Amino acid sequence: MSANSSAPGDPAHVRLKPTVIVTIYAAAFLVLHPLAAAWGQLSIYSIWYPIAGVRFALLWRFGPKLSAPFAAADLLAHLVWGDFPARPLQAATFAASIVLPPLAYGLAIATLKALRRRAGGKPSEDAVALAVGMAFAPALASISSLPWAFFDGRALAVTTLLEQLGAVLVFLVGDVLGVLLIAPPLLWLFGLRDPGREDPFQRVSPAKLAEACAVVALAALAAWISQNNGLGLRLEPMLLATAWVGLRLGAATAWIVIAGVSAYVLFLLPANTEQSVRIALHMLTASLAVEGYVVGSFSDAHERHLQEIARKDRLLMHAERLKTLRAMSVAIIHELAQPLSVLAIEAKTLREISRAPTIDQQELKAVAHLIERKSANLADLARRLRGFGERGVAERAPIDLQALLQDAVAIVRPEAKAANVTVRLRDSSEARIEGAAVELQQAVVNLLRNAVAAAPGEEVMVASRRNGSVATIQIDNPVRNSAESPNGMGIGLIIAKTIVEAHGGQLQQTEAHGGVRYSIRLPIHCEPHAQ
Amino acid sequence: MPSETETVYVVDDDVDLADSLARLFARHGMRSKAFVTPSAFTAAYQPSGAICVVTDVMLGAVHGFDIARTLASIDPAAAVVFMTAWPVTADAVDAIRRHGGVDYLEKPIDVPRLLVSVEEGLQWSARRRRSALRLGALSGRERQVLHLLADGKSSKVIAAELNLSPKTIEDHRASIRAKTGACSLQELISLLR
Repeated sequence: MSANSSAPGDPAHVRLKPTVIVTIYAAAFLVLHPLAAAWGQLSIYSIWYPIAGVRFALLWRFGPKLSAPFAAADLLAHLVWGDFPARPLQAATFAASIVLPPLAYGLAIATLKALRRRAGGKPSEDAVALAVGMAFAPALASISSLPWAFFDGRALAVTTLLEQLGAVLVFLVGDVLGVLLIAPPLLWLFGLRDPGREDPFQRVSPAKLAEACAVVALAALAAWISQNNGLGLRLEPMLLATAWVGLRLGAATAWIVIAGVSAYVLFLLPANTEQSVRIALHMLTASLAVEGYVVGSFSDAHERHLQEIARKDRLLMHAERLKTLRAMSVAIIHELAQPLSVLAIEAKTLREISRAPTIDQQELKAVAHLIERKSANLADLARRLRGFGERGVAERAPIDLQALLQDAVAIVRPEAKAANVTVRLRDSSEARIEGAAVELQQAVVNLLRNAVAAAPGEEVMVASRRNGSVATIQIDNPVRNSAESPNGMGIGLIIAKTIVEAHGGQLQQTEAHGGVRYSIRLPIHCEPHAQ
Repeated sequence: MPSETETVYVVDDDVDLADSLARLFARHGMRSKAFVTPSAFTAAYQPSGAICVVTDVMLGAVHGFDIARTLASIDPAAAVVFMTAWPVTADAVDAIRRHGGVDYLEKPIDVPRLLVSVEEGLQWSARRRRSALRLGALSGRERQVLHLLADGKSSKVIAAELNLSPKTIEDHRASIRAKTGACSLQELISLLR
């Protein structure tokens, strides 16, 4: 397999040959495995095992197939260190206990990825699968170590079955902490140059950050109070705080809290802390890490889903606007033909004036004025229709309500004229609202078209009012019978409702003076002028 | 005849377009009036001289063809030119065949063609007005005979049809010729068109 056969930018095979990856892993193993012995006072297994994180990250990123060479590397390292027992049975048992965990990691990751593929879910759910894998792989590895632990030559120190199981639990805690502390930053580093990479802290805003800090500080205070009241160091409040941070700010921020708690538990516990207390704290930290990261990832996936839905909504709205434009095109063409006729006639006038022996300045001025007015009208219509046909943008901006209504009425006017309906815009109050202008315009246009279609030959009234912090747009349709929807205006109404509600407003339908009144209520963004 | 006035009535619900058209015709030496609604037009209408009515087909609730129909009953000597922003073939055929339109023009307006059509309409109207004047002196029976002649029937056939003697028919024909001043049968028939 040659490295240059992979396409540039293919995220899964970023210019690294498998031999290089295995070498990196082996080097990390040689350094980190002995280091873990510092947390291995109680048992044959360490209570923090960082190489598990490196292993997990590499296997997740570059494929679980590498687990076999990784296992071989582990074996080789132990051979170099000369750890192997002399007797063959014990040597075999020892080898199995070394080889099986990396293979179990590979199996766990391969299983999860296969499940993901079969489920055919959205890519945004990959993060959730990753978070689950960070608990699942250590669990599988610790189970795989279970039978071999009984045959282990070093097991002389351990006598009972229960103690053996306890040792496996320590294995699990050590691996979980190792994976959750090391793998996420490593995977982030690997993904730095991926195309379309998302900022893991994109959900962090100053307000939310302050909230997270407050929650963590409160949890720390609770822990401190309990410690000073003879309850010992309690991490339960921190468990809840981590979940909160994960839920509100996502997995990356939750990881920072996890890392902080873990750093305290791993490095800063008082030297005289009892082993049992130490293990209990590690277990709680491992639980906190898994919980915080899974909750954070799940929340991230949820957030991405919401964004995806919003994006698709925008596409749908855009499609509906184009459909509306198409439906209005006959009336619009009529509206364009009128001023164009005037322009053609006035051009002829100018030609004739230029040929006349004396030029009537007054007439010339009048013609120029008419041409200016007509071309300005045409330009206005073109600008409004173009704006209406444009794609919506995600960013919300302050909108002048009056201008919005004027535009909407101008867009509907040709069709209203064809149906002999007068659309009257009553002098509206000045108010600024916030949102996607083109979509709110679409909501108003849909309601206006509804009214025009229901009441040929009548008058449709549009007005806006300001009531404290709420702006109200009223569309009065003189005819109650709007149930007849000749060109699918029912959908237009649903879309108007969706748009208004997405802007934190309400759309209400009431009967008034024998007709129908649609009221759009929207929160006012800010004062037009400082008053 | 120089004494005859030429009047163009413009009916369009767009004020600017109606005014523009009226000024265009005025500059070409015709009397011209612009109307935005059909009712204002019929109220101001005066059937004298050569008349051409330029009307939009879609005037809100009123169809341009309705105007043509009303006009035909008020003044059969008025020519009509239709304009539309949304041309339909069926309408175009109806405009000419059933409503006697001189032309059916698409908007945006082709100004030279409009002027030619209006000129044509005025000439037709003037001819119709003169014919009507000449035919106006005829008695009922004479008019009946003239129509039958126009259908290509001989005096004998007409006499049988009207249950009169051929001699009486010949008298009527002489009287018709005298009243209208037409020299030939062909000229007589052309008065009816």
